[in-house]
Amino acid sequence: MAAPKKKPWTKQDALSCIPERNPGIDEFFPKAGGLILSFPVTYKPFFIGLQRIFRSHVQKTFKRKIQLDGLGRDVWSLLDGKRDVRSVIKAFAGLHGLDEKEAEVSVTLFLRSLGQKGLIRIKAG
Amino acid sequence: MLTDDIPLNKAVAWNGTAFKIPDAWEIDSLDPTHVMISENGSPRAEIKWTESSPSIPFERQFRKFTARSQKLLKIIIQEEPVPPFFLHSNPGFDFFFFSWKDTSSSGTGALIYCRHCRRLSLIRFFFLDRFLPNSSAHGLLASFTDHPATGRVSWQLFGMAFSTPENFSLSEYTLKPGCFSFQFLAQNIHLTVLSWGPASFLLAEKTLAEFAQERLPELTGSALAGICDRGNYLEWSFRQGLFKNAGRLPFLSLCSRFILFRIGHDKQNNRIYGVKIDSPRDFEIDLMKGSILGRP
Repeated sequence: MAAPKKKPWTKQDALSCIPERNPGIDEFFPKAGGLILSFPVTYKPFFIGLQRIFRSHVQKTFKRKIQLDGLGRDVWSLLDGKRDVRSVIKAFAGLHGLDEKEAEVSVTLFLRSLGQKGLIRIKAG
Repeated sequence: MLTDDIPLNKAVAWNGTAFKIPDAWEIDSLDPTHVMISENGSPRAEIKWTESSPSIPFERQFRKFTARSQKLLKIIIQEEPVPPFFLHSNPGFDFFFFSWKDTSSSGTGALIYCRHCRRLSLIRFFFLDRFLPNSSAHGLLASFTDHPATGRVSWQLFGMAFSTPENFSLSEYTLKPGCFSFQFLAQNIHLTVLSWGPASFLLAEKTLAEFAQERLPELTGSALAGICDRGNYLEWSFRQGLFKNAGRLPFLSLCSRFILFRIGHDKQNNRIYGVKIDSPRDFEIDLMKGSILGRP
């Protein structure tokens, strides 16, 4: 029996999702402004294999750092696990006096890149 | 909620076409002859237009546009009578009302022919069975215009508002978050309107002059400071030759172009506005005066 077709996601569905920060992320506030996020990343199996050959102790994860500018920091601070994407966009637009459509494009692109890096997870709203 | 008496406060003006929509509606997508309007991600109205040729009879043009629109939008159009309450302030418009349906949705709409500029526009509304007085659809149609009345074309979208002389046509545009750019062309004069935001962030660690030099490294000479109705501005005017030191050779200086660039910080809208005029003739001050930054 064929599996039932999944209903395609609409923009409304995507905007009502709740982005949530993943645990284990350290935050540093540099003097120059912005925000540095430090998060654990697992080595690829190939590099773990190399470590097994050349090292006595195998380290499976390492810390990766990314620096956010002031705008990125503001979006990050809005990700409290309660606000949905639409609310984050509205709050960000209000914070910087931006048009909501402009804020929507920049916030959704930023959230996508955070998701690809494994910094956030998305809960269905 | 298309049938409620919602005030239409938001003006949209794009490439000659202008209309009003409720605050909750927003531009979802656009191209030079098309605008899609949505509300929280749901489509509300779609506007598509074309210029009709004076050599082709109107009826033929009309049929062709209707057939092409049906094919392009994958809809079936059914003609409807003009609602008795509907009246547009411009007598040069001919309205043809219709209902439409596709496989999953239906709605109403209108085809508009302007006898002045010969533009044919199709407006369709989503999830609306019939026109009602004081509805958003009625308000949008009543506020619809497709050519400027003053000789200046209005542009109003995504928090931007400016006007350009009627003879300038849009040649290129980019709408990236944080940077909007519109390029216009008329008789070898290039007019570029730029907008960056949010200004409070972009100018947090640098001055307006430093920001301008960073975005347009070709700026030479010192800038003149002034005040216009949008706030303080800086203005550069210089001549740019084809080659370095081209000005020393008279025949090469004939090919040089005059550049006028004005940049201003609009504190009220938290944006930085820029206007660049690249012209073969001497500095187009009048063009600048009537530009985005307003009259000094």
